[in-house]
Amino acid sequence: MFTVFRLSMNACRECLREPVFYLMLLAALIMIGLFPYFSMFVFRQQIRLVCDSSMATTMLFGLFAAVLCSARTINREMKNGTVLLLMSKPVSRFSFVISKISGILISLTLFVFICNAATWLSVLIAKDQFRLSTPLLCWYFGAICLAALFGGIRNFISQKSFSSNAVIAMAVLFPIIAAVTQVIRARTLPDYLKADTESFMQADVLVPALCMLFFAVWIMGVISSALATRMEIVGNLMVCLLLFLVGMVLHYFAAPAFGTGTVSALLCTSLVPNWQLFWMGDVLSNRIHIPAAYFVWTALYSVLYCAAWVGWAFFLFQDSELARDTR
Amino acid sequence: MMIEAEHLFKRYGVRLVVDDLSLHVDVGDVLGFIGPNGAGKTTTMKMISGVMPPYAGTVRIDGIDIEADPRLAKSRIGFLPENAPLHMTMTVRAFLAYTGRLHGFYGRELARRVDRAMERCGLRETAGQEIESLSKGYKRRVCLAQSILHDPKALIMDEPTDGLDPNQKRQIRELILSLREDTAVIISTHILEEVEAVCSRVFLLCKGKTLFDGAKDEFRAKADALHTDLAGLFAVMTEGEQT
Repeated sequence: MFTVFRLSMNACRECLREPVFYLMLLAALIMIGLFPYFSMFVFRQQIRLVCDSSMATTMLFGLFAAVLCSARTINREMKNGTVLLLMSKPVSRFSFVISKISGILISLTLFVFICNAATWLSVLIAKDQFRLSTPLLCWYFGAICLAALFGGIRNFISQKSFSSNAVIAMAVLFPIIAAVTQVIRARTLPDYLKADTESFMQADVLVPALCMLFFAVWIMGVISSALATRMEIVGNLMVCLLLFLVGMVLHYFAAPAFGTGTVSALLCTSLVPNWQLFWMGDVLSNRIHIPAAYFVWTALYSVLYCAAWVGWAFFLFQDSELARDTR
Repeated sequence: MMIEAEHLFKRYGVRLVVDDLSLHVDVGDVLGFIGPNGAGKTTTMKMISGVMPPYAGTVRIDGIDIEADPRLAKSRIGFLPENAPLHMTMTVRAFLAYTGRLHGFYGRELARRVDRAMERCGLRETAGQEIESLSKGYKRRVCLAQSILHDPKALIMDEPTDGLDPNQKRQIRELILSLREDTAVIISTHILEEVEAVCSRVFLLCKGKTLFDGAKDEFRAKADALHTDLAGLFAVMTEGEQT
């Protein structure tokens, strides 16, 4: 158990140390931060547009981050031979697969957590359709700069990884700023504006919807990790993108094409993840509370789907030839 | 017997790369595992170290079947892979501590073992440096340090001095000789000078088949009988097999 924990922590650290992880996160955060600006003068649809765009950004960038993390930590480790070192220790192949996947999932959780905190902030920046909260916008981009500065200082003084330190700084700054602003806004805003769905987003509506994105990115993380045991980064990215696109639309077409409840339709919809389950854009635009049962069933679906792919990853890794390039 | 491999076979697809290989190495022995490129040396090293399962055959380390109890068997093996693959973004100390924890060492015991391994491999001055910034020789030393950190009873080294300068080669060879007292050592190499310098036994492999398994003196005597040196004997034995 301790071995799996150690390997997981190491895999997570490796992911966070990757400059590409930081760059992906930075790009996602800049986009999310700019959405309030792009969605001005939209006839009282500003918050809805900000939510939709930010969640879509988190999902798409989460997918890319999942593929990059798994390719860098699993595929590269298999190619350059460090897997030989681990496999020669008292570490089983199953422990290796489990720990790598859990390490990648931890780093992806951090990725989505920061993006979600940024989405929350972005919703707060979108004050109304004609104005932005300029001080909050400054805080938002200030936090990105401050995190980069922290990473730079740690790198210069202690030779610690710039990327991981900057990411950790963002993971601390963004939720704090978002939570403090939400509390202040909730206390200072008049009641009639709080009730206005175009002026204020209740945390109890927003947070569960954002949490659903964790499940989506975890599933993509496990799929890309399983594929990374056999595929290079480009092939992995192509398959994941295909699964993403097909999973978005398949459930609309499977029933009409194969008939409702048929084995073919069931097989089709079981093999490809249903990303629509995690998309709560409509729920947010109508300010509906997500039922607890729906949340639990979606979590269960995600866990079962991830478990199936972990099994598949283990099967693929079991007979794979390790460290081909070192021979 | 510390390392016992019996009737090992390995296939890559339809290609048979190791064909009925058996070897035995005891404490105090340094076995020079030699053969031309593509002979199956690295594959055999991987099978003996438990990294790769054989197609058929058994490997026992200190009497423990590596297939039956891989964790216990692997805890007695130190493995130095070819090309010294390492986690480049870690410091030397952090990497050694990481591998030590995988062997179940913590706290003071871990620190003591890391310090001793660094001392033995001459890594004291580079303890805080990132592995990426080290020279090739130092990277190999780090890899060697991780393989001896847990005092293995069986040490398996794949090309341990490949690419090192003469001084570094000498230091590594001295270290191997100092380890042989309480360890069974297998060195895979195609440098016959290395076999001459550190090995007590020779195992010659070509196209996955055993061509010679015996004492170094026997191997040398065979070369003398043909009025040639070790390189000449190696060529005679392997070229005949390769054509």
